[in-house]
Amino acid sequence: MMRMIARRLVLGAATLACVYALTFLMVVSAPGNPLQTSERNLAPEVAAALRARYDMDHNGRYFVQLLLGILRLDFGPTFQYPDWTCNQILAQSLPVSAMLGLVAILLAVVVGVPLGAMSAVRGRGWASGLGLSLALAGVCVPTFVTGSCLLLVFAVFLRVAPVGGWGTLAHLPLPAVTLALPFVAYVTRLTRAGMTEALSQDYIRTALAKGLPRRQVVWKHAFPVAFLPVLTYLGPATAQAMTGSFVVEKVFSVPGMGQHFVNAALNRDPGLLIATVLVFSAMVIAFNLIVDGVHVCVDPRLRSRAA
Amino acid sequence: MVRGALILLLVLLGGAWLSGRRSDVRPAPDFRYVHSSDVHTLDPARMSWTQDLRIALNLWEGLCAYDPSTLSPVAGAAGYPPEVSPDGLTWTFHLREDGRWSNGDAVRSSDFVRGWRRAMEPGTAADYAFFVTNHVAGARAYAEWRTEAMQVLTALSRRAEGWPLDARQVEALLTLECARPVREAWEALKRASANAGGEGATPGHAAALGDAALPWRELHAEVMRRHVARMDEQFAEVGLETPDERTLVGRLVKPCPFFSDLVAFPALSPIHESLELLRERWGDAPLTREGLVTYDAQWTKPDYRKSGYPGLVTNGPYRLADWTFKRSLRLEVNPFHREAARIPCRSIEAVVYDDPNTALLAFESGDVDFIPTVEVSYDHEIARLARSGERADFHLCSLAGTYFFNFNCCDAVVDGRPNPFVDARVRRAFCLAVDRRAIAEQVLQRGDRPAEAFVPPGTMPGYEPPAGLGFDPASAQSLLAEAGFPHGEGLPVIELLFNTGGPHGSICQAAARMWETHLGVRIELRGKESKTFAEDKASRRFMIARANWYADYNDPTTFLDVLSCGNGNNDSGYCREEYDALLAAASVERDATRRMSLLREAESLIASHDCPILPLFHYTSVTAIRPGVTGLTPNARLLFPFRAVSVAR
Repeated sequence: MMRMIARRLVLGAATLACVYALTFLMVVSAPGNPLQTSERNLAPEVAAALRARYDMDHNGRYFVQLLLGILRLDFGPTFQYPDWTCNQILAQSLPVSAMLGLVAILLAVVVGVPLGAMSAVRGRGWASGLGLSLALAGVCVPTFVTGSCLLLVFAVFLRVAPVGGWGTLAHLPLPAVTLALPFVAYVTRLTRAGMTEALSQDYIRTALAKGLPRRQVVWKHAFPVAFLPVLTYLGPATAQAMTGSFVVEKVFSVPGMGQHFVNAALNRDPGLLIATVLVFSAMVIAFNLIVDGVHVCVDPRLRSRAA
Repeated sequence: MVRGALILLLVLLGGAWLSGRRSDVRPAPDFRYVHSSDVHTLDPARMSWTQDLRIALNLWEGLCAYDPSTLSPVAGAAGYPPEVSPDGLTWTFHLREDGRWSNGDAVRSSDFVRGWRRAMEPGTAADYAFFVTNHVAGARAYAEWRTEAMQVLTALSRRAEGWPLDARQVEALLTLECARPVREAWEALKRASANAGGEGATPGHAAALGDAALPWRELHAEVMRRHVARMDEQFAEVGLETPDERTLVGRLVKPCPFFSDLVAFPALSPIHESLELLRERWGDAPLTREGLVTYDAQWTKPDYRKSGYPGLVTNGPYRLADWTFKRSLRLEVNPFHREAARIPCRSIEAVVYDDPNTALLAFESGDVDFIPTVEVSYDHEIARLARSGERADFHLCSLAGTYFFNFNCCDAVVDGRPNPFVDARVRRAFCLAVDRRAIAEQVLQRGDRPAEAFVPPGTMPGYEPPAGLGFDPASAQSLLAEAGFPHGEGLPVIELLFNTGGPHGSICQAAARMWETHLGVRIELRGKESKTFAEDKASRRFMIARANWYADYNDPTTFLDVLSCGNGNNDSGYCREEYDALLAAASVERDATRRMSLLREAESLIASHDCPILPLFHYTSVTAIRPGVTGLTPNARLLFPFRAVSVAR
C-alpha cells in the first residue's frame, strides 16, 4: 500500500512537470500579447520595459525563472491585475471554490446516491421516474439557465436570498445547488446503473433465496458493489467542483477560481494560467489518489492485490 | 457513506455560518455601486480603464479636478485657473494651503513632481506617459534616455547571467551612449587579440560582441553606476520646477490650451513620499538590475506594512479602507481632506459583479444604488425604457466615444497582396455605401448617434465637428468605377476583421451586407478572439477592422491626434503631410477660434476626403441611479466624482 502511494506520488510529480512544460509552451506560442492589458496599443518602449521587468525578454530564461518560482510555491505576478500576485489571487479564490465545490459534491452524494439506488430498487415506480427525469434534466439544462432561473425566483421574486456575492451563509445555497445539479444527475445515473447491475447478480439471488431480508440484501450486499463506479467518478468530479466553475461564478458573482482559469487563458496571463492549471492538475491527481486509496479499503479484491 | 456525506455537509454549513458572521463586522456603506469586473490596478499612473479612473478620481486629487457634469477643469489641489505666461509655455500652479494626505501630511509640489516623474519612467509602463512626455519640455528626452539605458542594462544583466544576446541588444551595445564602457572593453579585447598575433575578433561583426569573453558582470555594474550618477542631473533638465513647497512650475514644449484638463487626469496624480520606502533596488542602485524604477506592487493596499510603509496614502476626498480582490472595494472619507466634514457619503462600496445581468438584478432588488453603465445584451430595451420615461431611474447618456472601421491605408496588406484601400476613392466609396442610421436604429436600437466624423458632436467645448459623408450609394458606385473597379469588378474579397462578442458581429454583418448590395463587392467576415484581434489590428493584418476610441480630455485633439502619422494607436496606417501640418499649425495657434477652425479643417480632410476611417456611430450608454440618490451627473466620459453624492434612504 505505502509503495503504491509512493509510486503514485512520483508519477504525479512527473505529470505536473509535463503539465507545466506543455502549458508554458502553449502560453508563449499563443497569438496575442499578454502584456497589453488595455484597449490601447502598447508603445514599443513600454513593451520592452515590461518584458524586462517580468523576465519575458528570453523564453528560455522565462521558463527557468517561472519554474524556480513555482518550486518555491511562488507563481509570480499577474499582468491583468498587476497589484496582486498569483499567490494572493489563489489564496483568495481557492478556499471559496473549495467550499462551494465540496458542498456541491456532498449534495450530489446525499441526493444522488439514494435517488439512484431507490430508482433501481423500485423498478418502474415514481421514484425511478423522478430519478431519471432529474438526471436527464441535470445533464441537459445548462448551468447558466438553472442559475439564472434560481436567481430570478429566489433572489428577485421571493427575496429570500441575496443577488450574488459571497461572504455569508445566505450566499451559499443558490450557487451550491446550481453547481451540484449536473453532479447530482451523474451520480444518480451511475448509482442507478450500478445498482441495477448488482441486483441482477447471482449472489444477490442466492442471498434472497436463502431468505435474507430484502432491505439487508440491497444495502449490505448490492450497494457496496454498486457504489464503486460512483466512487471512481467522485475523484475527478471533486477536483473539478472544488476548482470552481466559470459559469456559476459569473452568474452569482462568486469570487472563486473558475473565472481565473478562463480569464487567464483569454488574457494570456502566463503566471496565473500556469498557476490555475497546476492547481487543478494537482487536485485531480490528489483526489484520484485518495479515491484509489478508498477503493483499496472497500474492495477486498484490490486489498489483496495491493498487499 | 451517504450518512457520512450528510454529516460533513452539515459541519461545513455550520462552519460557513460562523465564519460569515465573523466577517460581517463592518457597518453597511452609505452608497453601494456596481463594478463590472474588479479594478485592474489602483496605481494611478498605470490606469487605463474607466472603472479604475472612476475610483482614482475619488482617491487622488490632481492639480485640477473635473466639474462633475461638464468635466471641464476646476480647482483641485491647486487653485484654478493656473497662471499661464503670455506665450502659453510656462504654467504656474499654486497649491492650496490646506491640501492634506490621508495620513495628515501636507501635500507638497514635490509630490506632484514625484508622481509625474514616475508616470514617465519606462518601468512604470504607463499608458498615459505621453501626457507628460508630449507636453513638458525635456520630458521626452529624459524618457528616451532612460529607455535606452534600460535596454542596455537588460542586455548586460542577461549576458552576465550567461543568456545569449539577440541582434537588437548587440546593436544597442554598439551604438548607444550609455554602453560606452562595453564598447571600450570590446575595443581593448580586439587590440589585445591583434597584438598577440591572433586573428582578432572580427571588427564590426555584431554577433562576435555577444559571444566575446568580456567581464560582463563588471561592465553591467559600471554602466549602472554611471547611469545612476547621472539620473538626477538629467532629470533637472525636464521642465518641472518647485520654487517652494506650494508652487509647481511646468515649462511646455508648445502651447497647450487643455493642459489644466490633463493635470486633472489620474495619471498625473501626486504620489506620497512613503512610496520610496518600497522602491526595488539592485545592490546600492535605486533601480532593478534591468535599470527600471519599480516599486513593490503591493503599495496600493491600505493595510500593507513593510519597511515602515504605512499602507496606501492618498490626497483625494476619500481614502481606501479595504480592497478584497474580486469582491469589493471600500472607500471612506479622508478625514484630513479640506471638505471632509461636508461630504455627505461617508463610506462607499464598489461591489464586483462580473455578469451585467446579475448586476441589473442586484439593482432591481435594491442591493446596489448605482450602475455606471448597464451593459446587458438587451440594452436596447433598457434604453427604450429610459427614453420613454417609463423608468425614471435609467438615464441615457451620450458619450465622447466613437465606433468606427479602420481602413488599412498601407501600400500592401501584410502578406504582400495588393491593398485596394490605398486609393482614397475606394475608401470614400465604402464610406458612402454604409447607412449609419440603419445600423444605429435597426441593429443597435439603443439610441446611439449615427456618426459622420470622428469627434462626437457636443462633447468638446468650442468645437463643432464638420459634416462628413452621408449615405449615397450612387456616388459610391461612381467613385468605385472611377477607381477602376466598376460594380466591384477587379476587387479582391474584402476581409472585415472584428473581435467576437458584444454587438460587433451584428454591426459588421450589417455593414458587409450594405457593401455587397450597393458596391457589388464580396466581403469575408473575420471574427477573432479579442487578444488575437488586437494583435492583428496593431500589426495591420487586415483590410478593414472595427475599432473604437474614447476621449481622454476635453479637446478634439484627443481624437484627431490618433490619425497623425506614426501615432502608436493609428491602426489604419494613414499618413498624410497635409493633415499633420494642420494639426501642427493648430498646436501653435494661440487664438482659440482659429485653432478650432484649423482642427475642423483637419477633421474635414479625414471625414470627407481621405477617409482613413469610417465613423459608424457615437456611443450612448444607460446609467442606472436609484431614486433618492442625488449628486451623480451622467457625463460624456462616465467619470463620477462621489464627493457630492448623497443618498436618502
